[in-house]
Amino acid sequence: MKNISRIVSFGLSLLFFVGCATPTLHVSYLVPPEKIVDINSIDVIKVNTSANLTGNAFVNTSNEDYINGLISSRINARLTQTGYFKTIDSVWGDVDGVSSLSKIIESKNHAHGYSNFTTDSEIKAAKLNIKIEADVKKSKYRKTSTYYLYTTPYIKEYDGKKPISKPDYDNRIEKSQSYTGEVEEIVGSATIYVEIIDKNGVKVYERDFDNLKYECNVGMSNQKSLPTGLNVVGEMLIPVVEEVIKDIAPHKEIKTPVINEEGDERVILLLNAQAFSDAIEMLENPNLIKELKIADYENLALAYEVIGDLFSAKYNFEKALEIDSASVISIDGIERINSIVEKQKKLKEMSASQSRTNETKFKSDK
Amino acid sequence: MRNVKDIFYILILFLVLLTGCSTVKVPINVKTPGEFNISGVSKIAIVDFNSIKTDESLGVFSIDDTTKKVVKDLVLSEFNKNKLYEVCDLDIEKLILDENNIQLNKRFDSVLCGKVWWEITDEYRFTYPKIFKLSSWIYEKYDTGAKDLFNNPIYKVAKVVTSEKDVLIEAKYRSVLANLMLSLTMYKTDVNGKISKVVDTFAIASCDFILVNGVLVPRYNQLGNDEKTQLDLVKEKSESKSFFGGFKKALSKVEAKNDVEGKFDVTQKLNTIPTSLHANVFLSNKLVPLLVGKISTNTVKIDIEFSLKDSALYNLMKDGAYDAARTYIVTHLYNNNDDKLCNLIDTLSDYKPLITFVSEEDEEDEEYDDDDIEDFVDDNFEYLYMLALSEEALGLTDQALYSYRYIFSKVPSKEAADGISRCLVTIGMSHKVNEKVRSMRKASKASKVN
Repeated sequence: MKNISRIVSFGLSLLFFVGCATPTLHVSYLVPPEKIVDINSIDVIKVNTSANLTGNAFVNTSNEDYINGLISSRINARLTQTGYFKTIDSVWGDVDGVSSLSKIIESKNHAHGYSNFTTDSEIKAAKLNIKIEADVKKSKYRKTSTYYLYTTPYIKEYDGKKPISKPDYDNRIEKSQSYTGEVEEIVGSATIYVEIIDKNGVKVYERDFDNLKYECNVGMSNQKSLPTGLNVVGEMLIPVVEEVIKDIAPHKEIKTPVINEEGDERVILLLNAQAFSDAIEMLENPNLIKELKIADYENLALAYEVIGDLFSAKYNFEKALEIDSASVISIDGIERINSIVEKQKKLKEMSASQSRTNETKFKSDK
Repeated sequence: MRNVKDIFYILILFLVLLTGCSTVKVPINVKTPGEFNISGVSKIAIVDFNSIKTDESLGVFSIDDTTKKVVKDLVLSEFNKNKLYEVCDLDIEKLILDENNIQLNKRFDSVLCGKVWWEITDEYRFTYPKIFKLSSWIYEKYDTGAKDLFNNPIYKVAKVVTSEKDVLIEAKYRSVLANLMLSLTMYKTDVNGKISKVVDTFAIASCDFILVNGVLVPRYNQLGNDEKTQLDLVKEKSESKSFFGGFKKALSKVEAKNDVEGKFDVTQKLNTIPTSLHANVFLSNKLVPLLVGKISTNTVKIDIEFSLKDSALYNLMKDGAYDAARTYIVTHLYNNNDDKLCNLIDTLSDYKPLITFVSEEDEEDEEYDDDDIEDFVDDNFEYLYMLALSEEALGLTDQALYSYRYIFSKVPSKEAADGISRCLVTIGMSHKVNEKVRSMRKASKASKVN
């Protein structure tokens, strides 16, 4: 009985480590902002931040400066990353900033070939205002845990002539022992308010992020340093910045459609390996696969979807539905594509009238 | 508890029995173009960090001069490594021009400003409970049953454990937490000195340096990672193994956890908590390549692991002798198989067999069909796959792609499929890198000083 349970446990463990997860694909689509309708009105933007920090976790006066710098730098970088925005900062669009830069370069006494540096002084820009109220407190307390300790005798045996010993678990003695130790805890809470005033002075976006929380303790089973007050605020802020970016900028939406495992094994290997063009070629070649089953049509549709050919993807999902009109994969696939097509249409209309920045991102990683 | 231990031991035994081969790790380097396709930039002047008067609402970045200089120099060094853009420190450039009494032949067409914020906590000393296993044992002399040359019995000594006892102790650890925030902003200058913003990048990371039982374990965490790219997905797939990969990853996570607690053997390890400068360099070495890689080019390393039975081939691949490995593989295949059959294998057609031993008896006119070719590829999968991998490692991506596709068409496998995917991504990336290089060269011509 013991041996059978060992074998079964082993088998289950093996299955766990090998993994019985269904293979999925990672597909990203560029979609328009959730809340902003006209990007043109905010494509040049200046970020203004103000932070009010309370709690015994903040020890010096530059903390607000750090938080302001953290948010504005993060948002500026993320907006630039989308390729649809330019952000005003301390140099571009700031005559004083350029003057400061000029002085720094001139102080090098270097014949760099420029008589002077200038910048656009009158840039019509939208304003993104962020206000943070954060409270972060540290505290200490004592915690008691109970541990079970064993004293195990060993039985002497022989392996041929060699003496060995094995633990005698049947005669093991158990005793419990408590331990009281110190735990240090840091708890943070924050609310963040974000608004955007467009270039024409109209408020086009507003959002409150309430009940942001963070908690961490060290000591006992957690051997690490206690995060600083600034770490805590950073951890709460970063996801908020991502939400704001989704609301105001075109961004990537990630989906994980499932590969149909009943399809051709070679195609499944290629899809899992991200070799989509080869998977398509194999499925479209009647010399390699004579007749496509429903699973093959669905996998072909997925491959087209990943490379961005939504028309062909939808066509193949529809072919699959002709074989089995109740196929969940195909029904979900068509629904997904229709939704993405709508969003991308909206994005195209938005982008058509926008004057792009000079620097354009590489459009696709595919 | 006992059953969990049994399962663990059985799994270890299973792994050891089943592998029985040597595992080689082959690094494949893929050059990527970075996130931004920047036009009109060829030479970048890097100014002192945190030196531009900043808008007060953006905050003032306070940091000591040494730390600022260290980060700036790392950024300079990283751009020089990538070799795409020329970078200059204006002080050093002036020194060179003055020392050698030469004129500037090319002015900078962009300026890179950096902002650094740095924080390191005081040393943290704490305690935690740890269960320690103590054993008691005896050494027992026994007769092995064997006899020596003089027919005397041979004795050996065995260690025999008599009991084991758990003891709860209060263990100590020390740690220090460091945070680094780095922002790199690039401004383009036109011929008239008019400045416009080009690129804005930012990253923030922290590292917890934990010292337990003499072993230093840095725990690095970057806040807000970028979304995964196609290359990241291909790297993930290529570096995961179909059977043992998951097990090995799980095991390494367990080991990593144990490392933090310490093995509590008597140790002579004398690691110490790093100094502030040391910690800064550690974090900067993580963030600087990340940000510079977004602006310039970047090389992503993908490690491909494969178990080899052929020890000679293993040694060649392990030492990075990929050209020699190709020669070895082709020679081995021709030596151990019929020449006529080898000649039917497409991937071998580019290679002239160096040594062929064809005995007179093997001159029968054998006919081979598709099944024979498939059997050949299956039987020699290790060699053909290593051939493709060597081609890939040498940068012969088109040839490697052809080889992977051929192997896959005969014997479909995860390894060959991953190889196809990697080659396609590498080729795509190289087109984009070339585009970036062309743009840089155009800007370079425009910024020459007459």
